[in-house]
Amino acid sequence: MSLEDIRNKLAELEKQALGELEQAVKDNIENIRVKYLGKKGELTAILRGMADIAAAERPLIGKLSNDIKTRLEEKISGKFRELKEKSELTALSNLQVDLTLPGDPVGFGHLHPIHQTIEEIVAIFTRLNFAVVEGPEIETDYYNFEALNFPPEHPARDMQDTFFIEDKVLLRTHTSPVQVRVFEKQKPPVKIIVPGKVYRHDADVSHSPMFHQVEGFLVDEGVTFADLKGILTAFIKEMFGEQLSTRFRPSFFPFTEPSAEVDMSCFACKGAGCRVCKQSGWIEILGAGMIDPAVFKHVKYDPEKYTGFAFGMGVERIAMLKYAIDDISLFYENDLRFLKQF
Amino acid sequence: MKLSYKWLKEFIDTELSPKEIADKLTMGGIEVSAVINMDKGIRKVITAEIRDVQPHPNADKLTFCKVFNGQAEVDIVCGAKNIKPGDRVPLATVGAVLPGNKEINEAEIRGKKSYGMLCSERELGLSEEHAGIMILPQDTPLGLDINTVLELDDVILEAEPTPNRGDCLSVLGLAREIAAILNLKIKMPKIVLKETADKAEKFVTVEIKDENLCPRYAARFASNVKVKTSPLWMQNRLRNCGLRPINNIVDITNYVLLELGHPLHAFDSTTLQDAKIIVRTAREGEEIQTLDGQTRKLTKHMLVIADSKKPVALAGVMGGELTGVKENSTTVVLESAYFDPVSIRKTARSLGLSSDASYHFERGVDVDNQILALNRAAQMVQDLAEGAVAKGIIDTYPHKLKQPKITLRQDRINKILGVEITFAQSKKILKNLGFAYTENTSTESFHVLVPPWRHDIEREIDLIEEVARLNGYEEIPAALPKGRMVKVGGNRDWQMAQTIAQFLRAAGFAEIISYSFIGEKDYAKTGIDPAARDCIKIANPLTEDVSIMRTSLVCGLLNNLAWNINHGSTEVKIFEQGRVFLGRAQETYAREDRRLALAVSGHKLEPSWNRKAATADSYYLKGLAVGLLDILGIAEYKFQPSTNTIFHPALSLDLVLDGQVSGTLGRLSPRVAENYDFPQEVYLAEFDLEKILSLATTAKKFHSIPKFPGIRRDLALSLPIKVSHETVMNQLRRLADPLVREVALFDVYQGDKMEAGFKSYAYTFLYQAQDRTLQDEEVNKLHQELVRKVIAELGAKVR
Repeated sequence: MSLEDIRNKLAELEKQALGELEQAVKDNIENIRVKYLGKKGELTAILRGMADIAAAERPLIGKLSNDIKTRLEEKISGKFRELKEKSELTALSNLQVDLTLPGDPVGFGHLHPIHQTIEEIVAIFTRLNFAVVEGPEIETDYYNFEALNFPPEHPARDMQDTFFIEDKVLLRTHTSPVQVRVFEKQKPPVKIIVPGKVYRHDADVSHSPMFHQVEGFLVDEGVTFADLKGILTAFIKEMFGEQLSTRFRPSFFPFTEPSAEVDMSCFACKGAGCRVCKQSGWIEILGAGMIDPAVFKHVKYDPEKYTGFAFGMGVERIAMLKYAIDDISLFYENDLRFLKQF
Repeated sequence: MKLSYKWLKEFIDTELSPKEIADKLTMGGIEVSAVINMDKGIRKVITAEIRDVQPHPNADKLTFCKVFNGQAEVDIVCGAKNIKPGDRVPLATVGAVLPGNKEINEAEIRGKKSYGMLCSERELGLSEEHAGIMILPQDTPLGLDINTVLELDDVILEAEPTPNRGDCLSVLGLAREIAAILNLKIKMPKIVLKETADKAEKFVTVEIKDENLCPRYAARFASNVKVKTSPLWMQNRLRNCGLRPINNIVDITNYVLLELGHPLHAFDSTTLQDAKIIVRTAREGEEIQTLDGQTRKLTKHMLVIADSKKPVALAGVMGGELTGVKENSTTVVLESAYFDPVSIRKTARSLGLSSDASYHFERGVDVDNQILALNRAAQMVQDLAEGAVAKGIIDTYPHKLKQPKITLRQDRINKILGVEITFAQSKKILKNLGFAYTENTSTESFHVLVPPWRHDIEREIDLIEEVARLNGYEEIPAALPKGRMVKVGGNRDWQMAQTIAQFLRAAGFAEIISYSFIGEKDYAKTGIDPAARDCIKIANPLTEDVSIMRTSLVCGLLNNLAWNINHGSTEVKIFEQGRVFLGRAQETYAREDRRLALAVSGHKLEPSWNRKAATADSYYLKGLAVGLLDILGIAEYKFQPSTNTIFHPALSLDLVLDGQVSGTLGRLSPRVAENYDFPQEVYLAEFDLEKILSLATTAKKFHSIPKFPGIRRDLALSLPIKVSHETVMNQLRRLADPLVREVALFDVYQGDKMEAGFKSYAYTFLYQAQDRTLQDEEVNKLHQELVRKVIAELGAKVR
């Protein structure tokens, strides 16, 4: 055999081996390797024919065959890896699982919507530097009415149907008595927020004998009605949305003067008038006013020196508006099907 | 109160629409909750006269009528019995529309054609009256649209004055308010009386015995009175304002009340013994039968109008049945009085009898307006009841009521409001409100004389509010307080309560809020002895079931659990934070303690197809309690067997803090569970938050993490069943070498594989040194030593 013959044979061998490799499956790859590169393989057979080659040319053939051997080995192992990965992947993918089955429930609980609403309100005011104070739920007539400038036998008392414990002792009808209790203990400046339960002798779709209020008040030198407007406007925007407008209109509470009802533009209809706002475009949300000098008189604050404002809101009403709940008794049934929605 | 727009326009000239007036009032402080168009959609209903009524030939209950509609006679089949020829009635013609879009068409009824329908009040949407056809007054013109005739073209404003504004409970009062807002003049009704020559005093005399409770009593007398139906215009006004027309005399007093806001009363003078009116307090036990037919027992605090013998009216609240004006009365005494608001309110409340009159008197009426109202009524008795009004007014007014005089400082106005209102602006507002004043321009202040109708104005601040509201709240800017920094404390407990709520929420609990009041029934069901506690009871509860202030949160929790299980929720994990009321205290009336309670029924974790579901048990609650104490930074606590009878005697524990029982957890006593018919096991806990929060802390201290690895060794012990884990742990801690950093139980076994009377507890020990890596040999030696001691001292066998 001439050098040229061997060269051709080697090239032919490589081509043939690669062709076979192309068609190979995982199980016969080893056979291919043995067939071409094994001790008794075809490459060895070709090299045996080197006897006729001049000694000077032999290293050339050696290099040629080594190169081919290296290349083929790489291809073979590469093909083997490829086929192995492919078959493993096929095996993994063939696992019979149904991932549409539901995931494990975390089982998180739920805070009462009233609680969540209170917490939201309180958080806004604590960011405004108000401190939280809670007062007793069983109050005396003095704190609940008299010191708040509800004279005995005044029709204003009709606004708040009362549960009595005994003469002059009652379930507080609002959170306002806490004003008096704080003023008795603390000199201005005071800046307090009071969340809590209150009670009225009343029960229907929109009234519960027990409900929640949040009261707030600020007393210092130079506090004005303009400040009240500022704080409450900021609160309403934070609580219900930046785009809402507010409206203050005159009203009456014995313990504030001037007094105001605060309305916000209806979030449902943007003021156009709908069922939520009873066609008025406005939703009543807060009662407020400048603390009446008569209240200061009871706690010996000098009304010429100090002024202050107070405001209060019904939590149930806000929660009902916020979550579109139409029956107040749902809050106290505590049906899990209700609670789990919050 | 219902304000008629047409009536209002008799008092002020304005082109503003009802809606615009409503907005002005609302923004001025008198909320108008609704603007109601009286137009009920009635079309093609006209006035007509009955000409002939014959029985229907084919139906016993029907009649066949000829009705004249002003132009022609039409045939109408009718079912009502109250009509006769000559009656004027509303006729719904063919094509007419009645309220509710009901159309009237030509119809054949039992063989007779009917060209329309005669209407009852109910069919016209005026009232619930449907016993017969509505009969209109004889002088009603024929062929007119019923909307015009009944003034259904009016609009009613539903105004809701606040309790301090009794002066706004009338057309006049609201007109005055609108006039002040719009800068208008009021037109007062003109009164023309043709009095008879005889003086009123000749017919009746008045004596006030209690001048404090009745500062002024005015009366007029009229004879020759004919009691009959009121003219249509008056009926319309009353009906549109929600009152039912009765007869001309009653209607007149109601009309004047609506118009001028002063309650009047009319007596039949012949029923007054000795023609005397005596205003006095009742004698204890005296009785009167009031207009509503009820006999009322009186006390000596109640003011009455009496004749020489008996009470004839409950002053300012309600007239007497026997002395009121009847169909056949001819002589009438008209009363216009001023009564003390507090006394009226007390009487009305103690008798549970509230009337339009008492509602006005309680809120204060205008003592000057009293005479106007009396004259207005007298004129109407003259014009509408043919009455001959006697000369003069019997006016008893011993001491003129004084109106307050108040100083108003301009700088004070601006200091309170935070706005720059000028002296001139304030002045204009006072003037528009009809307040008399003198001004001091150098000090910028006013001396204001409050008019007698404004009982709400006694102090400077009351006047400041007037300036604020008439200047408009919208004119006040929104500012932010410039005030000093305030010390913020006291949020700690609030924050802790939130932490607890969030902890339980993360553990899968739903928060409930139950009523603070419970009933005897709850005590009976839970077995809590009400007598053992100093319970606080509500004197006027809604029902007996909600009549006691709760002394435990457990009742609410169990009721709620029952509710949820009965409504199909069998996996229940709920909690509540709230107060209990434990008898009398010092600073507050009751001792109000905060508590936390939780209940679980079903599984610890929500079961899933993918995990084994474990049922809740006492250990679950114990773990929660420990977790809670941990999150609140409380490291010192103890559990001990509980004797609380709400709980299962063997499956419950008390939590002890600071040597004090501060809560109980465990399984609900089966005996209590039976009372609630629970179909599944219930576990619950109640904790004293006062104690827990007093010990809670957010302070934390870091302990360095060990630098050298530790080695674990396990030990399974076979123990007599009565030996507790706690005992074993105490011993293990005592016996273990100081290099044991941690001992923990990791397995419990009790069953067939154990010798009878024995159980197996397996513990793991972590050996770890601060300064070096421990070697196996050293640990083995230490552990063998420990095992030897445990066997020797605990009497346990090693498995």
